[in-house]
Amino acid sequence: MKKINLLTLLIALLLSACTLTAESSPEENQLESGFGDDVILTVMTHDSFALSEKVIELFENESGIKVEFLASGDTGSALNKAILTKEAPLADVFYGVDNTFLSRALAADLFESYAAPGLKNIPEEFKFDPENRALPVDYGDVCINYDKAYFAENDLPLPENFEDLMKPEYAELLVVENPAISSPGLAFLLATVAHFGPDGYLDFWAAMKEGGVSVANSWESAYYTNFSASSGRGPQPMVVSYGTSPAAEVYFAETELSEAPTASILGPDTCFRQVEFIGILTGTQQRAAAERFVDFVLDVDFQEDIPLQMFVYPVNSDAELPEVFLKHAELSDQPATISMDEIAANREVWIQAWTETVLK
Amino acid sequence: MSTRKVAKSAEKKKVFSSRSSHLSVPFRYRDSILRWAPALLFISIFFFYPLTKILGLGVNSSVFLSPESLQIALDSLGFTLYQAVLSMLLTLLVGLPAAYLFARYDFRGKALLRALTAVPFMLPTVVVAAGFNALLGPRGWLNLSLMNLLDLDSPPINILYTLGAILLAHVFYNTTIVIRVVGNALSRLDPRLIEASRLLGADPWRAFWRITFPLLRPSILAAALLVFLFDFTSFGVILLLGGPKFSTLEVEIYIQTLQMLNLPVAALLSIIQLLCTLTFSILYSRMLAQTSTQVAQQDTESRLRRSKNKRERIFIFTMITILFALFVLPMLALPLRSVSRLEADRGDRADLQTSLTSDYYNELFINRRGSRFYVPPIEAALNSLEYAGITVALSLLMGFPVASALAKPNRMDRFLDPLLMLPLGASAVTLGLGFIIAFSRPPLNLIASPWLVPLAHTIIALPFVIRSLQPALASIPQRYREAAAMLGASSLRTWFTVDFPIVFRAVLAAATFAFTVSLGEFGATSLLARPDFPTIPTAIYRFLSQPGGLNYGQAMAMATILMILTTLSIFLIEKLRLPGRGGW
Amino acid sequence: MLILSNIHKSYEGKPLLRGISLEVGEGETICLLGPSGGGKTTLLRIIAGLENAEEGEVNWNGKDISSVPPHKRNFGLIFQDYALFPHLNVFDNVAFGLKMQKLGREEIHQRVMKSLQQVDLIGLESRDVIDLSGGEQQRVALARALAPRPHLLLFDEPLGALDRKLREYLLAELRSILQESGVPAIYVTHDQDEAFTLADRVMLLHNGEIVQRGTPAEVYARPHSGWVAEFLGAGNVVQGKILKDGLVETIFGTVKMPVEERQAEGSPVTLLIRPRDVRIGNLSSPLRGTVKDVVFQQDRFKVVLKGGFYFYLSDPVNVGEEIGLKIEMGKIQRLAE
Repeated sequence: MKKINLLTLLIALLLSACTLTAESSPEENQLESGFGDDVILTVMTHDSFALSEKVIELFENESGIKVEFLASGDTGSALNKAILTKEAPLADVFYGVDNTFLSRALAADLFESYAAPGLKNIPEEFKFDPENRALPVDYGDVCINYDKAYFAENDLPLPENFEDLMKPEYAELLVVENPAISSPGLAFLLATVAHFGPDGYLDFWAAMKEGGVSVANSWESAYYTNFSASSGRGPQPMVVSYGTSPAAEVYFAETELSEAPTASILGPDTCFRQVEFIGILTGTQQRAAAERFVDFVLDVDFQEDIPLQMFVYPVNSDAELPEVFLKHAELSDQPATISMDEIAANREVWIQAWTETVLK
Repeated sequence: MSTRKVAKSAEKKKVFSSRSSHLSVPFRYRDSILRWAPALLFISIFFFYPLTKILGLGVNSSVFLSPESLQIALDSLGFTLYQAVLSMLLTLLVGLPAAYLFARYDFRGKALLRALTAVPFMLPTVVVAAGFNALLGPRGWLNLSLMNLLDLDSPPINILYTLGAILLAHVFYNTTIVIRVVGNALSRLDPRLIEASRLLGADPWRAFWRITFPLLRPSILAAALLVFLFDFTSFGVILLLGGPKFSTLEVEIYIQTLQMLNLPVAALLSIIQLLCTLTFSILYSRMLAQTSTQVAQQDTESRLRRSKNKRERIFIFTMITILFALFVLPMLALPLRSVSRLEADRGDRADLQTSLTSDYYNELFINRRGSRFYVPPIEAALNSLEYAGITVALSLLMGFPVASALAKPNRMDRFLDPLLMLPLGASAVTLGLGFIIAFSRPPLNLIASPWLVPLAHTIIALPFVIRSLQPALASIPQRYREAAAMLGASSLRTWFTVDFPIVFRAVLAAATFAFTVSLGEFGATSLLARPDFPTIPTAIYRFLSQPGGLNYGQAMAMATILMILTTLSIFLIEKLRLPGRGGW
Repeated sequence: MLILSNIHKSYEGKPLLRGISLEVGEGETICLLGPSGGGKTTLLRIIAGLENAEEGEVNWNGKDISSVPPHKRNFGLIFQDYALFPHLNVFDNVAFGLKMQKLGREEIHQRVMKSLQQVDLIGLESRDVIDLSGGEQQRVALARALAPRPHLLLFDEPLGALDRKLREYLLAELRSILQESGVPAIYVTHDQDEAFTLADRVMLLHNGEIVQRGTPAEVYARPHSGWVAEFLGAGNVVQGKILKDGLVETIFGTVKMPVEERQAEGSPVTLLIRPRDVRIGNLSSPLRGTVKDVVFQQDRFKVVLKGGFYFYLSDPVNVGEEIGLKIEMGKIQRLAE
């Protein structure tokens, strides 16, 4: 008797769970033409995505489209989640695939082409996909950050390039991320490949290993556990992070800072430029609403919101940067670049070889 | 009347009562089927179905069983087993005496210390790593004091990214399992059995090995299995504290699935991990079947003692010190850090200037950047609590009937038993992705549903609930029920008046497990939770994903809130007593 | 030979045992008789070495054994609910103590079988102890305690959980086993029938003190106090006041009793009047009462008067009737307070 009740309860629970979803499911309440009050656009993204309430309200009020965000783990997880659910897309728009993984998205036919009018305000260097399936939205440099105080205190000159890093005086001073797991780790590996070439980068890494480079699995560990200038007070004064991290250190400081405690090393190829893209997911039932959202994302209001929300740069050249960016964030004049196709063809091989060289 | 006669009449009664269960086969299993149905239905829908969906994507490829794939699997399997065995042994080494301490002795602050040992279980690894770093890191308290004390130039202890860090963290996380599962059995163990053996000439050591240990064997086995499986499928600890040099199956599954999108290899690794889990669970069932089935236990907790002689006092003092160093100190680092500001004077390296501040807590309540995804800490806490509450309810509802079937298992129960442990062997990433693929279209379109998170948590909590309920239910002597039935209690009344009070403590322990599993789960949650319904762990993770002192401080403040919340909950749960049962 | 001297023990600040001294001689069975919660079990545990006395000495054969751990004393203890090892079968339970003595397999087998035979359990060796009936469990516990040939047997209300018939049977069996084996024993109980059946000497424990000791017959014949008499159910304990000329006033009238020593008039006195010494008299008797209840008991009637006074008659009287009583002079006992 008792057990049967349990069973019914469970089934009731499952059913209620299903109906609960059915009510809020995006497909249910769609209008095919025009945007009524109840058009809901679902945007899939990674968990570092952020934006202002004010800005999204602006869009929602103007367009009558309600936007729901679906965050799904880090950059790699989110993309793979989108690829795995390609047959029955969970969302209409995907925000946040970067140039190290773009080829995977394009190969999977994840996106539909959209030649957005906003593209005219975006410099050519960011337009990786000539078919406009993936449209650039933001960018930033993965660079080595250093602890200013450490170098001043020890009267140590800054390393200016990768070659300097191999010198004994910088032994054990750098922490990098595992490229197999971490996105900045992969970007930094690609920078060394770009600089030394596919035949030479392993020698660099062998030398770095010899010099006692530290490797962490994630940016969070590297920055907060290993890096000496972060709040975690770790042992290494140099970390692979972002060119905007010094600005974030100032913006999120406990007490007002006139100067950032960290800065980036901006040598030739020492920074890798990551560009993030947005795309309309193949098979969306709301193409028009999706286009409208992409337009909005490329427009100045959203673009100017990007820096302080996600600490990357807007691609729209009309967008103005906040003061903390102008003062404390840095961009390399000579970032490392590798073609998307080359990355696509060799990413796993390079990671594997790196793992063999540095970790084994 | 002769004794023989008396004995026979008792026997007759027994035959009579057991005859009622000698029914035809379907009838004999009917009870079992009914008890298993909810849980089996649940794990079929929410575990096996998504699992086959995700694994199905990989197994058809030729890469699936290629030598390279097998090589990857073998490489990580070796280390996975090695570290899991070591971690389990160390955890038992700390956990068994700790369980003894809590079950047998009374001392001031016991309830709090006991509650604190359960807190690590639900702390996100990022936060634990921060706590360990603050204590044992190159510039942690310990190293700084040792450097000052011994006048050293470099930190003497280097534990970060070593096997030692992995083992330490596993002990830190999982000792609570031993304390709760074994301690629960120990506190129900009749101390007179030990006394009887002492009087029969057994010294304390032999009394332990011949009486206490065999009687505790089922619960020690259960605890060891749970600890082992947790260590075997460990992810965050390996990733963040072990560092890149160490890779377990679970870490490799994560890399292959989410970074490489190499589903065939991921599927192979997942299947190996599941098969191992199944093997260990079957081994466990076998070993359990060899030990005695029922242990006469008292229904009231044995009288707790304050320390009596010098040896006992030394034991208690040593254990409290160890537990304090192992559990309280690393956790203490977090609340301390959450209220101390590091001064901007960054030139001075060894002695950091600190001052007290409540800034981080204040900041938690401010949506400074006007973010769409800003969530007040109260709301994140409420989300976490809500998910945990649903998890507790669901897992108890489904776990209890299964545990009662397993308390007096028939062949069907024994056969089904190991299946229940399988969810512990599935990687959170695999499960999370499986959910996404399986439940993203009708008939079960749950992907946007907030239910998805507690459903996934229930899958993970269920084995814990069943394992902690089963020994207690098994310990209810049949004669109590018979006595209650004789007094006219219906079977439901019997359950309420006899079974329930006896297993009440075990239910509490099970609920605590389900609660903490849900509060601390991060892997599946990060894939399934909606950004506007973050749990405390996902909120902490969000803070730590950007540089800056305020972010770090807020993460520590949030972690402190999580710790206080869970300490309080556990403290209260364990303080619960049944009305009218003073001894409990 | 066990000698306890001046044992003190308190529990949670309250004194439980207050200066207990006793001796157990060769082959002697001592019963500690007293109400539940009177510290009897604690005293037994102190003798066994499971607890320490706060004061006093436990002496065995001339040596203070207070600091000897229980496993080195070779005393057998039979627990109230037997404390059989649930993971061992009957044989292994009984063999446990012998294994601890590291005896050879053969000898263990022989001695286990002998013990099982003593308690009439042959044939049940390989049974699980949880499948046994209460009486069988009790006998396994006894066999287990006997097998290592203990110097002293301690019984903690071992028959408390059994029904009357079984208890009587086992009691007789226990008596013969104790006599046969010649092991000295201390038997703790709140049941005087058990105590009087087994004991060579009885000790009554009240409020942490031994209030009376002696052979069963002595104790029953000469209770030292009203409490003892009432606890033993020795008869009517009646409070009274001394008048003059050896007359004592009670609520049932005045009785005459020999006054050996002169006592002040008006001082209180406690009397024991056994029912068997009471006869029915005429209504002019100075002692009388109103019948409250008449109960048939096998071959006689128990008559209870208002106020609780009782005695036995072979013929019934009517409830409500007022009757006179006759008590043989000299049979009235005077008790200490």
